[in-house]
Amino acid sequence: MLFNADIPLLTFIVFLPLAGALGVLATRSRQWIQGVALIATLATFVLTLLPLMQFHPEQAGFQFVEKVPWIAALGISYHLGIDGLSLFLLPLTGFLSVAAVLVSWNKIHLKEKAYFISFLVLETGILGVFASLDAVLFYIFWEAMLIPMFLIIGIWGSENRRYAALKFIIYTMAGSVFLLIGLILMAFLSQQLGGVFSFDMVSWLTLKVPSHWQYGIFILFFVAFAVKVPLFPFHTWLPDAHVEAPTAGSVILAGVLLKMGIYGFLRFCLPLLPEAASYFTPAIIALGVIGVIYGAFVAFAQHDLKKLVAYSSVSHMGLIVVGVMAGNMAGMKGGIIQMVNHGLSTGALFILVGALYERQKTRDMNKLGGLAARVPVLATFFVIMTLSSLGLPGLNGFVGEFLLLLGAFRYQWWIGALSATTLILGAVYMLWMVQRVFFETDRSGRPGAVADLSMGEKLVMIPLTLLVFFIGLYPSYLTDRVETISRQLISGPAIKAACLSVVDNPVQPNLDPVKVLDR
Amino acid sequence: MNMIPQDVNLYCLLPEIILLAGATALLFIRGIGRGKGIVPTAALTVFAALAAVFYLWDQGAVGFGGLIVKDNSALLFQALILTTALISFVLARDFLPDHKNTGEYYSLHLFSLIGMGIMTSTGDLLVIFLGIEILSLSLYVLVGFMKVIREGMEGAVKYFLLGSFASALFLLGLALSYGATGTTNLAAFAAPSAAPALLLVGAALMLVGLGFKIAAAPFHMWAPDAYEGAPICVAAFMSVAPKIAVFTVLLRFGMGISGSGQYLISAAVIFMSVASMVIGNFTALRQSSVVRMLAYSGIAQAGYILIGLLAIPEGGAGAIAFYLIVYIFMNMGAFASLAYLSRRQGKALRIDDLAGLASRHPWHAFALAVFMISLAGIPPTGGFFAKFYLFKVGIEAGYLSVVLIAIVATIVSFFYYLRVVMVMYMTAEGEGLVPMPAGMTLIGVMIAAIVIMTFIAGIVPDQFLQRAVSAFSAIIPRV
Repeated sequence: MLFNADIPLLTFIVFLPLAGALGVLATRSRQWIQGVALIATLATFVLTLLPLMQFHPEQAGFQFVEKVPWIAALGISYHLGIDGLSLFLLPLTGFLSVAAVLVSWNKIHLKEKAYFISFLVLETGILGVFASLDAVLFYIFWEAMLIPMFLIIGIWGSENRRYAALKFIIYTMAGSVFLLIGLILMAFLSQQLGGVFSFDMVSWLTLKVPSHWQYGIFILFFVAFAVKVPLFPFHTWLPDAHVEAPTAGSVILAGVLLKMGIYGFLRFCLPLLPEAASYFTPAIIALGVIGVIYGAFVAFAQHDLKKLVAYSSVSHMGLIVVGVMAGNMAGMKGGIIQMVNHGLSTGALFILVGALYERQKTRDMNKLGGLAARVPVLATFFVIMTLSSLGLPGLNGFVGEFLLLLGAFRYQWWIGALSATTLILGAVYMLWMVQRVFFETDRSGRPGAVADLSMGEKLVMIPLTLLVFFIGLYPSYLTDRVETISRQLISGPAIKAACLSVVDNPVQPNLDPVKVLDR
Repeated sequence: MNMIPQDVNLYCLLPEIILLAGATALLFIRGIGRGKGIVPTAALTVFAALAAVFYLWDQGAVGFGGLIVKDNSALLFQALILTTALISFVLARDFLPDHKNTGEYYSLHLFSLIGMGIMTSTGDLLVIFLGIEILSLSLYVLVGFMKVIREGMEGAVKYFLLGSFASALFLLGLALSYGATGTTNLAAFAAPSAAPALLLVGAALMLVGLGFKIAAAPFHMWAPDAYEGAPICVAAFMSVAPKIAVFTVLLRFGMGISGSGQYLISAAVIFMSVASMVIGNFTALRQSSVVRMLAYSGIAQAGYILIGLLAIPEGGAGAIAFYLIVYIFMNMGAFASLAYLSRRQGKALRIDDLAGLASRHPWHAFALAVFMISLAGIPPTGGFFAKFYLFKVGIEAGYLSVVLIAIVATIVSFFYYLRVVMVMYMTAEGEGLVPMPAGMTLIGVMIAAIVIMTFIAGIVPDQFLQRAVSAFSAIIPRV
């Protein structure tokens, strides 16, 4: 094997894009800037594939772990590691970052250096979030990542970009500061219960957080992650951000950033606060179902392609939340897999919508039409991705949606039935969109020839399509690898909740040395 | 004839003596012109004082019958104040017009350093008052130094009147507490008093006086006008250095008070903290002048730091020290950027004037953006860990609700800090900026160094933290 245990693989993965950003800083000409950015993202992507090959799916716990004390005074360490939950999110990030660089190729005419630097710093932030096992390290990546995204929306977005950028950053940061308080409280609990003031997420897993703390901390965590997902009613920033962001920004936003919310639920809320999690499950599932239906109906009413895809994301992410909260294997596995699938198909749809916008200078469906004959390649890819997004058997979306719905049905049949409307509603708005944009008659009033996909865009779309088929036809490659972690995640709440209810007061906390009580 | 105590030990005033010598010397070499001899003399004096501080480190020198105590915490804070002065000298050298760049200015500056040196290193109320007065008198003059500007005079007069009033209140409080305890030593606060009510009134009056000096709400009214009227190099200095000195005093105060009065005093501190955070942040939202925005942001920052004061046995002192270290970098850095810009633009900047700065001067915009992000407390800058540590000790001491208010205040602060970033990066170039020459300048190099320090404090804060915590571990009485 190329990498053995002594080489800090995850550190390389996380910080290679940052090194690439420094490289971009040192270059001058546009070709070099793009070239260095492409090399950095490609190299990162190749590195993110290595854990896939060396990962032991049957092994519980974290792999590729690196741990070095960082800020000893505060119990913070530099602690990286991955498990089945983050395993596929790293290559997804790596892949979509390459796609982001490719779709921006020769298309940025303003401060291109800053543009590519922002993307590379963003990639480091996202990879860091998925790889961190220390809560403060996690939080630093989580927040640091927002600044480049803020700049990407605000500098290179369309007309209303400043408003969208500010809304994006205020919403997400407001959520995250509450997360910070929750994390600090967790560290104090770790001191009370375990004797060490520590932000180590792995050692937190062994804590039995007292009931009266669980609910408060859960709400603090929940706000941060629900904004990110985005769960109804915290979703209002998403359509604005998507519509105003440049294509590559939308790709990363929809493809990876939204997954950080679900990731947070699964990494923090479920395993650490099982009692509160099971208490709040009905409410969260209700919000998820509302999101599924509401997102679909609003998507149905849109004329703007980007807004339509954005609201379809609200709907799809709602379904993922329903599945992972359902507390059974099917839903959990479906949720973890669907994070990857949604990243691929929605990312691809944003790329194609961006390409369409570039050619027709509009995203209004009322001004498009009949494009299938004029841009056959684009239309083909678009239809494939639409079908993947609405869950056609044989494509990746089916695997995830099927498992998610199965999980929802097992939880409550009527929840499953309500969630299953996503299949019908999704088909309605997605196919209607395809019909209006690619078939019917041309409403653009500009009959001239339209360029089909360029080489760079094809280079992005072909691997995406292959992946869509690969996951659709060989889903056990994914399901096998998320088996262990799903079992842990669903048994965590059940077992721990049982422990807490059987033993009245499992650990008598010594409350004296630390007064974590609100005066 | 034993007027002089036996254990004078002038040696423990070494930094102040050096500063006094420098300040006197500077008065004699006035009028030589910009940068020739004056700034180097002033800077050398401060460097020598810094060397003296390091020389005294770990010696625990005591003099004047215990009136002056140069323990490590005093020395740490004095070193911070001297660093602030060095940064401010570089600003002044660049910013002040030639006919104002005189020995007088730097001499007054050094006098204020003497005052703050005394404030940091004494446990006696009367000596603290002496220090405050030496500091304030120098600053009153410095604020009005550009006497041709009308706003400058207005700010200076306002500062002078309110400042004297605050000093008078402090003195009244001192007198009352002397009446209650029979001594001016701060240690007396710890002992049960014969007249607890009198002592409490005295302590409250002194708290008000000190609150004025750090511009904590509701005693903040003078700050925006004084900052705006003063030359930016003075505004930068007075936004940081007096805060450091007064927080040293407050720390010594807070460590001493006990008994029933403790709760009233801590309620007062909570009130000041919350009021500062709320008033500072919400008022900063509405400012169009950059300096006024920074003034209100400074009020809000004082509110955050006051949280540390509530948590003194739990390590609040270390958190405050760390916050102040980072605050020097980010706040002085922001003011330095502004000084650089307004000198070259020849006017006081409004936020909208910064439009398009990122296109013309990407490095400069980047530096200012880093300082704003750090002031907002966003990682990976030093400001994040500073806030993180303060919130941590605040929660540890049981003030979760105050910390939650601070969190909401922080969210509000994102609006105005990020607004500066937005204007610089996301707005097309406006009419506001006249072209500026590019190239290396001393102030540019210094801003770059401050940016690097801001990042270092955010990425490897361990060194700073250890230093800050260890300086206090020795002197904090375990309650």
